[in-house]
Amino acid sequence: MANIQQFCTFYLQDQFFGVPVQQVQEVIRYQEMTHVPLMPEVIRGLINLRGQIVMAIDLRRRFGMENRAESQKPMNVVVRSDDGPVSFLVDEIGDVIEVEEDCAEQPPETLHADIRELLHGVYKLKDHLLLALDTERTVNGRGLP
Amino acid sequence: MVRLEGEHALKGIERVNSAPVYRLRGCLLPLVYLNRELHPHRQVNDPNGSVNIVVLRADDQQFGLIVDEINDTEEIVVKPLSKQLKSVNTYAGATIMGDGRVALILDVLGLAQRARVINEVRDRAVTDEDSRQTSGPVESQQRNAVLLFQSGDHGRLAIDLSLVARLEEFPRELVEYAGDQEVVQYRGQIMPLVRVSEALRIARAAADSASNSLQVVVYANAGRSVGLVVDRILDIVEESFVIQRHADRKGVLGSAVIQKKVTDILDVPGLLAAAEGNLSPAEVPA
Repeated sequence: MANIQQFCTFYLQDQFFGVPVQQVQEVIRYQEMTHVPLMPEVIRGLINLRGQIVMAIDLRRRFGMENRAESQKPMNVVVRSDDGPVSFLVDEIGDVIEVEEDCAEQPPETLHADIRELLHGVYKLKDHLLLALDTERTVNGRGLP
Repeated sequence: MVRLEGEHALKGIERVNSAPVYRLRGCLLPLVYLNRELHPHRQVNDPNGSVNIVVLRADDQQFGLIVDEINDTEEIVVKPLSKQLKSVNTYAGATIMGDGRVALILDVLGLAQRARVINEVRDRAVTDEDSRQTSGPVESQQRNAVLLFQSGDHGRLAIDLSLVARLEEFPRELVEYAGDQEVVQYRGQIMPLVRVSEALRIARAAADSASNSLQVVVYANAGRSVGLVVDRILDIVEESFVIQRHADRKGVLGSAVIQKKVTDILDVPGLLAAAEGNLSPAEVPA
């Protein structure tokens, strides 16, 4: 019996990403953010999540993609990290999908190492690829203080 | 808070070479532009029109912070920041305002260090000086700001104010243990506590065990904080004094007459070394 993993999926540009559902606290629409000067631009700001102050990391910037158009408001995928909840800013939310662990592979060696370390693996779905995010490294890895 | 309008805004701010200053009650107040500190790469124009100066104090140094606008004063609950945001020492925390927005809270000491109002390396300079003093009976006379406190029944002690990050009071029940080390959770970190009276082997005051809270002098060096538990904070004084008698005791530089009373001057690195060798091995003098 193959292991089934559930992913909460989202889009960044035309790429399809996923975070294991166990790590996702909630998904919320765009929130006003307070910009924090002197921080790397990957950290977009702080949001008020029902009285809790949560740092928002823009995954487009984390993956070195170009910025969203001004009119395109990002969604928040709030994940649990060792340091409390952290919000990932993404373009659009996808479905929760089930994938078999067997169809995963390591990200290709040709990927830049800084970006490669943000990915757990690549799942080969029928018509596209699912890039599985490494939550902890996305929050704490290189490129962040 | 000082607000300069129109003519005064242009004339009130003078320059000492490149450093802007303002005459506040006859004394020169160094000025720091918050805009420039927070956006070092952005071109910020000199403010025209009115200027708002918030007069702040970090360590023993007064300085004026120029802000765009003053909204209000408010009592707030400070919430800690995640560790990424703590890495710059400019913010002490954040809070949620009445309208739900998140506001950042500036760390005045960190900001002053960033703006070089106070010297970041001063801690080190003082400790270097300290170690020189301990190595030989050099008499030194200096005008120093010190924090006076009491430890034990008789212990009247002083610590250089520039070594003190903050004064805190912790309820006794917040004290936890890491191994047999007393610690408290402080600003998202685990801060070890050192009882000054025990480290110096001073008889503990009887009142100590009765009170429900601990008076703690937070000593910060190289990003690490240590809480020095004292019995009573007495005063902050600025006096010139001579360290006259050099003690053999670890953790004490010597004694001086401060406010006409004999006072032991604390040697914090030495004290920490005496209290626990492994607390901060880097600071233990060889």
